[in-house]
Amino acid sequence: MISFEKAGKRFGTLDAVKDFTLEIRDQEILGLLGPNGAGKTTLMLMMGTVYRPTSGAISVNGLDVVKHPNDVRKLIGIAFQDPRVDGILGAFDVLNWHLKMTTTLGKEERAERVEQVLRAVDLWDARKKRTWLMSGGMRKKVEDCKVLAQRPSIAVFDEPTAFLDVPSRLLMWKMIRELRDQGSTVIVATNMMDEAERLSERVAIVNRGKLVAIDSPEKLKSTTKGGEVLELTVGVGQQFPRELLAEFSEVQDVTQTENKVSVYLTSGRLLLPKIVETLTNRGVKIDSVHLKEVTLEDVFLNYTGQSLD
Amino acid sequence: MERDIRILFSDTFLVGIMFANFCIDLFVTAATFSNLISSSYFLMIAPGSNFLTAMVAAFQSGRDVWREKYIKDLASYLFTLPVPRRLFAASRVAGGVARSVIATFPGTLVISYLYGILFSPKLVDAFVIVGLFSLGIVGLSMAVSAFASSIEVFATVRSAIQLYLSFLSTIFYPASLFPVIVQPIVETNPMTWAMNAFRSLSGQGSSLGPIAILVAPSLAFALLGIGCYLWYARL
Repeated sequence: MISFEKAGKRFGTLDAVKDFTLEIRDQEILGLLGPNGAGKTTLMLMMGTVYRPTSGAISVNGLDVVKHPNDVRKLIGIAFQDPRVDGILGAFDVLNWHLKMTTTLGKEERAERVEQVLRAVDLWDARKKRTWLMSGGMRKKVEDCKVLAQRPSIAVFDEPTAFLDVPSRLLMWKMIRELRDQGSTVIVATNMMDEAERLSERVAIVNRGKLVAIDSPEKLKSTTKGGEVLELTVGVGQQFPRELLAEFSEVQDVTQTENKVSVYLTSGRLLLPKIVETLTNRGVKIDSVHLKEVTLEDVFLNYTGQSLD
Repeated sequence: MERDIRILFSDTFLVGIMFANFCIDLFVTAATFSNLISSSYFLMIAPGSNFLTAMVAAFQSGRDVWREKYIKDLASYLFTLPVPRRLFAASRVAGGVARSVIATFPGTLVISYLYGILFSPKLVDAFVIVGLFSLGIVGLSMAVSAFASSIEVFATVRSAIQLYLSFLSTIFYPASLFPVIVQPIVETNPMTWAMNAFRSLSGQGSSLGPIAILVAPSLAFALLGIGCYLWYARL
């Protein structure tokens, strides 16, 4: 189990992470969802003993990351958002060296493991190609493969499918699930809603260095009032008159970000024509209307008051 | 042009180093080459060239360390590897020494042949001297990289150190040929100690004494490099 207890990290006058408390269960896939700069990477680097927490405590399988950094490092493998690979080396050598440093596997076992993952992600034929000559997607695969081949107790993936095409994304998700099935606890930091929703058993929403909410994607969505969202685009600079919707008991909440208005409600299909009519009769200029079910993005918007874009 | 000039003068440290380099170039280099003719190439110049190569290769370690942190951001990955930090720092120094010894391997062999020590135990001494010298320079380069705010600062400081080690030492000719006022600087230059140790291999006597002089400063610089790297590793 990984435990963050009021953990904080301050850089100068900036609190990248503040009073962060979270417990990550063994063999779960936890999604860390938040916008860029939310503190996800800082959290992972504190857990990986690269950054020392400036307050609070973090323990990994009962080991304090400050007191037992080397023991903690033996448990963790991190695939970084931007591939951290020696460009002059080929994929095979990058992975082989990584396994040599992080596992007790012998030479032949390492070679087998590396071949297995490189074939799985369709990089075997390019195994000798210098990584600095590879495309962004290929390099990202190599980065992810470091952890997939390592099979650590705690596997951390930072934006694991950034730069990947759709088939590769699906494959990577499958491989991450298999890693969990083999016994690893998996933490996936992402700002992609579908990734968090489809991959994670629990999602922790992080914003401005703080934990905002944590639960399964379904339960998080159920916490959002209404169950449906009516998205309206109004004229630029127009302040939406929320009081006009007060007469509808089905409307639970209304939020506005610039010219986009989200109306959280029930019975949206029945109500939509009435709401539009009411608003247009009062002179509200509506550019577009879209009714949908609540998504994690709405949950995020609801908890943080801002979108992930 | 204005922007370039502003940038140039925005760092007084850089300007100071540049001025120092200029002075060394003007007064030392010219003086050095004007006295080369009467020197024995194999005794004086060839080992010096070999040590210059060792110095450049050793300085590459510091440059790599700097690039790992500020350009490629490899440092944060390397620090997640399950290796104790002190061991990791020491291994970086050792890796730099190995690279330097490898870079000078052919040169050391050729000079050893010319000195007539290729098939004697003194060949080991030759490599020990190159290794000890490289150890100090790798440590120094890692210390510089820890404090360099930009690659330009690193390159400028490196140039200044390299000029000092090259032209205010006995690489090209004996200390007695330097102006009297400069001789104490030349005599206390680590490059001079390394050169003296290496040149002693061509004689009949033991070279243990000259080698021993190199040990303390090399270890001191290596420890400085390790210390600075550990400080620098606190991301």
